[in-house]
Amino acid sequence: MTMIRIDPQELSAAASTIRSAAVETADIGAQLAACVSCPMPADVAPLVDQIVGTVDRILDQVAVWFNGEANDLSNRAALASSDLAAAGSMADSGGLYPSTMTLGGNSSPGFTIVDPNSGQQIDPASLLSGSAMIGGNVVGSTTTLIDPTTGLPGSLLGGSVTIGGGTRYGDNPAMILAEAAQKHRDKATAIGNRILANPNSSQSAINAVFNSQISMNESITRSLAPSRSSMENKVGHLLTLGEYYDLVPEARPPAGSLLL
Amino acid sequence: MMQQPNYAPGMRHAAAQLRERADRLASVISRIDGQLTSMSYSGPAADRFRSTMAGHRSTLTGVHGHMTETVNILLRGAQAEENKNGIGGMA
Repeated sequence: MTMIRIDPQELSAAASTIRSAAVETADIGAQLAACVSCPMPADVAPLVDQIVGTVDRILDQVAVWFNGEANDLSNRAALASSDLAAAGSMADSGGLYPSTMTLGGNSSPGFTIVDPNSGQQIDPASLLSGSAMIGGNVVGSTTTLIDPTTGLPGSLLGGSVTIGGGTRYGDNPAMILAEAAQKHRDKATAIGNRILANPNSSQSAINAVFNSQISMNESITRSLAPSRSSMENKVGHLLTLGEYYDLVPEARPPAGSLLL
Repeated sequence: MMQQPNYAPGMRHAAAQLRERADRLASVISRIDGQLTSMSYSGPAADRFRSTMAGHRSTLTGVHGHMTETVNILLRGAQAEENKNGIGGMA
């Protein structure tokens, strides 16, 4: 089973760190030319200029990558937060559940429910349809939760719960496609990184990596941009294409691309 | 005889500036490492994130190497200039 652990606060903090690293990386690159602006002998100057120029471009590209990763983490943090909020609102569906519950633990019958008004412990059997066993290693009499509709033993609570594991996502064709695209992107990024990290890489190879990465990032950014209809819903009226691009600049296709 | 321009001080200054930027870059790499190490984030997306960041880190390490190499080129050039002009300099 795949274990997924997402802490929205942790992801937000990481996104912030990576975003600041992106800013600093780009800043370092921008300062390089000024660092070596002094006059130099003719045999040294071209070599230094070439290295500094290459390093500056790589740092700019890494800054773009870092921003992409930071945005991805922020999006995941937002999604996780909204999921938690949804879970919170479910748990707060007043009256259905007592305000204090202990589930699991090595006890008999394995849980304690306290009346929020009286502070007295409540017999679970009086709340649930029939006797119940919720979590824990029950050492007393084993009880069963009865489905109130069918009268048969049910599993409304407890049972195995799997979060993640990929089965729900894996069933979705869009997710399969997205996963395949992600794998291609990872592979291309890995190859690009190897070329950029190799001091013997030619300038044309480095340029090819830049162009490829930039167009890939632009494409992803456009894919993730809010749609025109979602923006129209948000602003409450129909938008011209120009107005939409003004609101969502990342959706604007690059110059020279074919608009369908 | 025409006076040879003395490039050495400027090159040493440039080397110091460049080294300071290389140190800042090393600090960025270190911060990224610390962030990745401390995260409890796990799952397929987390694996992909760590793998991608490891690639970026490797790129930055390569860049840091290029910067250090440039510092050394500048220092060697400064030393050569000083030797040529008969000035005792530090490597």
